Amino acid sequence: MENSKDLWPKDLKLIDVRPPVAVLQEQGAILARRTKNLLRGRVDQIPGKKAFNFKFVIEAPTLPYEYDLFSIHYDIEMYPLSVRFEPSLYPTSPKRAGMKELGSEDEFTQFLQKVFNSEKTRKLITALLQLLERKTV
Amino acid sequence: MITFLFWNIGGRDLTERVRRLARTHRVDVLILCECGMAMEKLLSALNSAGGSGYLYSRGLCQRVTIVSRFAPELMTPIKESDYLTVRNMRLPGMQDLLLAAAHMPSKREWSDADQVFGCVSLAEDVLHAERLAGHSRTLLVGDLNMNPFEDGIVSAKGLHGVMTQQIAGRRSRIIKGKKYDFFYNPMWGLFGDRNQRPAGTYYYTKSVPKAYFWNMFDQVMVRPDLLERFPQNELAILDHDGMETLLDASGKPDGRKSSDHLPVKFQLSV
Repeated sequence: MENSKDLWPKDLKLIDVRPPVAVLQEQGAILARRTKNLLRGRVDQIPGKKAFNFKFVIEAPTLPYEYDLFSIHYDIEMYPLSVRFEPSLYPTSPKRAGMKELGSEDEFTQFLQKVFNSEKTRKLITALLQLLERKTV
Repeated sequence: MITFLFWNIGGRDLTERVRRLARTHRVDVLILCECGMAMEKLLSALNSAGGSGYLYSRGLCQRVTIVSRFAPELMTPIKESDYLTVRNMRLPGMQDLLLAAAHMPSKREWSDADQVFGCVSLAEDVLHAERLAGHSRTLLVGDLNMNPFEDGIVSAKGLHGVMTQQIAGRRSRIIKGKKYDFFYNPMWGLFGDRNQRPAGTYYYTKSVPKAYFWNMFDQVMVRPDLLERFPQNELAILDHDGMETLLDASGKPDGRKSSDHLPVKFQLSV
């Protein structure tokens, strides 16, 4: 073995890109922390045409209630990443309503920020927190 | 009996026709897809002379709208997405029910493969809602944009909808060690024109070799736990709103004056 020639690239380190599912899990945990665990952002694996397919679910476990916000689909290279969502969450051309291709983690995080700050998501979170508050009164 | 009526009204203002249907069939739960009507106007029409007690059963699924004679707190949503709403119906004196109402993307939006994956997801969502609710007394209704014989509807990993109560009565089957619950899909029995009824709920054709002409995209399915409470002869595709036909002169759904889909009515015994 000592005489064997190493044909592999010198730098085998992975590129510095987090898997999109990890980005979602992180945001799910942040939602739980911000709402004192009243709400959670859960990531579920779903069937799909790409190698990796997940959906992001906002859940209020004690109600119980949950809403599937959007799904992501990607192959081993991770990017470009496909997202599918309801058209009111993120503006796109009518022809591509409810779907978008994102080329990098930057584009993905920008997408997430827009979706999390959309009127629909804010309404959903507010409504769930109000229901949970009424439930505990 | 609880009477349900499902209709994809194609984004049109069909307030008067919906009112007539609700009145004629004494509908308790009205499930509408592509509801383009203002809720105030619809409720006002439904609650006008002779009809009363209809309330908007609020949910976040934009593709499905539910109006009911039951108070909204008796029909709470537990699982939703942009294409599905699942309501836990807790009616007095009755065991809880799950009403899952879906409007799946059309064949123009989704490929055959997308539709199969969509049905697998839908089946998983329904199963998940059943786990949340703690029971599987489930009715699934909607414009699935697939026929009862298509892969996503029939396959065990999809909705697993079978054509006889006898098969569904076995509750589930095991494939490679995994258990898959059945749905009974009574829509199989409504295909064709034998009973002088519309041969499907949606008519579509184009100049290609394979055309079904009539399709059964609008379906209701029941879990085995509800079979005894689902009177088969009360299931109907409606072609009349009580005053006017919903069909055009050639006997197809009148997409100009009404909707290009026909409504489906069904009941559940209390």
